Amino acid sequence: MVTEPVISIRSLRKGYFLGGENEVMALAGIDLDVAAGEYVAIMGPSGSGKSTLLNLLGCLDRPTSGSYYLGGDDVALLDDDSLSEVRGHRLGFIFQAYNLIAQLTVIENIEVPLFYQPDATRGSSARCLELAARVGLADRLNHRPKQLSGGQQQRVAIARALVNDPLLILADEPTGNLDSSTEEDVLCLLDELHAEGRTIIIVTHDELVANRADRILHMKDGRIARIVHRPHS
Amino acid sequence: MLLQIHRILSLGVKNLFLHKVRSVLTMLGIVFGVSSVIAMLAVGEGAALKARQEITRLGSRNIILDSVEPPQNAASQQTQSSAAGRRKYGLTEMDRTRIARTLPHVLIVHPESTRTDEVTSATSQHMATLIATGADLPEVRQIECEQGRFFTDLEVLRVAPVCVLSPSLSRKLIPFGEVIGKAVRIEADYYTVIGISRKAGQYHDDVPATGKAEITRNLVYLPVTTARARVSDFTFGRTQFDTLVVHVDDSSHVPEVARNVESILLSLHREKDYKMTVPLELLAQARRTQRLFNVIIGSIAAISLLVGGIGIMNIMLATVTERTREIGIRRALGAKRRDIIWQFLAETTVISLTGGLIGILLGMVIPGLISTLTKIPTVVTTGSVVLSVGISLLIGIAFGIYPARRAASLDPIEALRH
Ligand SMILES: Nc1ncnc2c1ncn2[C@@H]1O[C@H](COP(=O)(O)OP(=O)(O)OP(=O)(O)O)[C@@H](O)[C@H]1O
Ligand SMILES: [Mg+2]
Repeated sequence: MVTEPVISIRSLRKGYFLGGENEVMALAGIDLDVAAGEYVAIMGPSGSGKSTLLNLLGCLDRPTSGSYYLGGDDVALLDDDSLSEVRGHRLGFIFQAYNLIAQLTVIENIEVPLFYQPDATRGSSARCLELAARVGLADRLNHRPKQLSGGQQQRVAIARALVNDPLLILADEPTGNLDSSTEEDVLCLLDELHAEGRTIIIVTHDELVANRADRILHMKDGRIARIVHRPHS
Repeated sequence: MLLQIHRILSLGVKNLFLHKVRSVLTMLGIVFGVSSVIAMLAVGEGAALKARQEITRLGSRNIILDSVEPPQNAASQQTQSSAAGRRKYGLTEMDRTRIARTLPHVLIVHPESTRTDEVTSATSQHMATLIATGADLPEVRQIECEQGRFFTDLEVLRVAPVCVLSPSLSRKLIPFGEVIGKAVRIEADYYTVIGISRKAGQYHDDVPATGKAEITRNLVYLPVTTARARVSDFTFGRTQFDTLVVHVDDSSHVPEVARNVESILLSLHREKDYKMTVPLELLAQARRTQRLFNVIIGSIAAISLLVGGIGIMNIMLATVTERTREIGIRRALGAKRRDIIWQFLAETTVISLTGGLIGILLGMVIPGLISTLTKIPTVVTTGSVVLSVGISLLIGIAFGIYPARRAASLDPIEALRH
């Protein structure tokens, strides 16, 4: 049985014009397929294009050239509204800096993606509560981000990333700001999600973090230099 | 759709509550703008209403002629000082018949003269204003009888010794029992009371009943013929008529009749010993003044509301900068540009509408205070309230749209990096 890949990318390029003739090729031709349920880590030196790639995968940006199929749909050249819709319906983001909205409580932060999906209101508060419980924050529902530790904030962010039941979860250095014990909490959560069959792409500098993935992409100068497959345990 | 609006508005309210002091300060511009507009309009409307009432009381179908003592040069005043006291001036029977007989559209030329004198009943004596007038007074001056009736043309013709009293005077003169049919005395003669007027009309201003004003509330209406025959002040007065009211069939004919009356009087009088008042013209004048007043108020209001609106825009621009990261997060999580626009517009609209509503409340309280403290009449019209709500809504949208667009135009990646 051949299942359709969640992500299918061909010769994806992204250049930044810096005025005049200067153009920085942040991505210089990427080919990548990610199957459903796969856990992929992206590594590489600073400036190698990891974040740029993740932004493109996250439909936050448009490539200069190349094709990008997400769940079978061409999303490379969609307009702004359609990209927003794709992000809201199919993607879950986990950021290094957590990126919670400071004025909102834990439960309100988890609800934010649903706010922009008029069709997803029914039963949503139950779902949010369930997710909050799942990441271990059932007793902190009305706390504000400032009143939480870094690890707790990142767990709120993970609950938020799950609230729209995404096709793909994207994490840019999710443990970059955490100490080793809270890092372990967050990574265990990601492992659980992986075990449930979710598709996850994570950018990291940490070998130990990357080693939990099925596949590690090593980037260099805007290209995928090396791919390491880890045997299934 | 409704749910969506509710969500967006409650988000707006919530964000405003997170910055209470700032929101209230931003609101103040609108509060003061709107309340001053409503208060000023209320004062203006009160003045206009008073003018209109005044004019309606005079009657829009009436032309009022008053006798005026002519200016005398110094020489004649010196030499004829004793004779001048007796010299007659003002409107005459001749004027009255000429206007009544020759001018089309004139229904009635109605005489009125007033003097003060003592009125005596079986139990007491009071100073009162005597009004010598015709049988048409009820129609011309819109005066009614609360009891009994007014005198008729026949009674005027027959010099009947009858009178109509104002309610306050009738209470004082004959406090107990039936008033109609009793007699009161003026000078040496007795008059049968045939009616009590209603508390309305020209001589019934709601002035405090003290001093001279007391006399203006003590009124005795007498047939003009009777008064002239029996009351010495009328018999030997220097004017035949203090006032003639020309009652016209339709207000559209008033200007024409006024012109004709003017030319008749010019031909009959050697000097300007009369004054003509046309209430309808006063009304037009009052309308012009009112319009000018409204334009001035409108400009002041526009400026103050503009200042309020700019205040809102200023704060919202600062807010957009401050909340760039939040905007980036929302965009990453699926918010479209228009969601961001609505979010910011909802905030400015809530600010300006709340400000507007507070302004309306304040604007309704202030005129009340003005009225009770200064006795200047004020009227808060629904029109001004509706206008204010509309304007504040418009300000919220007009001055919110630029910051909102600016927020929405932020690139999500850039905004997240903030
Ligand atoms: N908005 C931009 N304008 C111009 N150049 C950019 C922009 N964003 C990224 N770049 C360039 O693209 C290249 C790749 O950047 P990217 O952020 O993807 O690196 P990265 O692998 O995520 O690095 P790090 O590990 O430090 O996060 C860099 O050379 C960077 O200077
Ligand atoms: Mg990066």
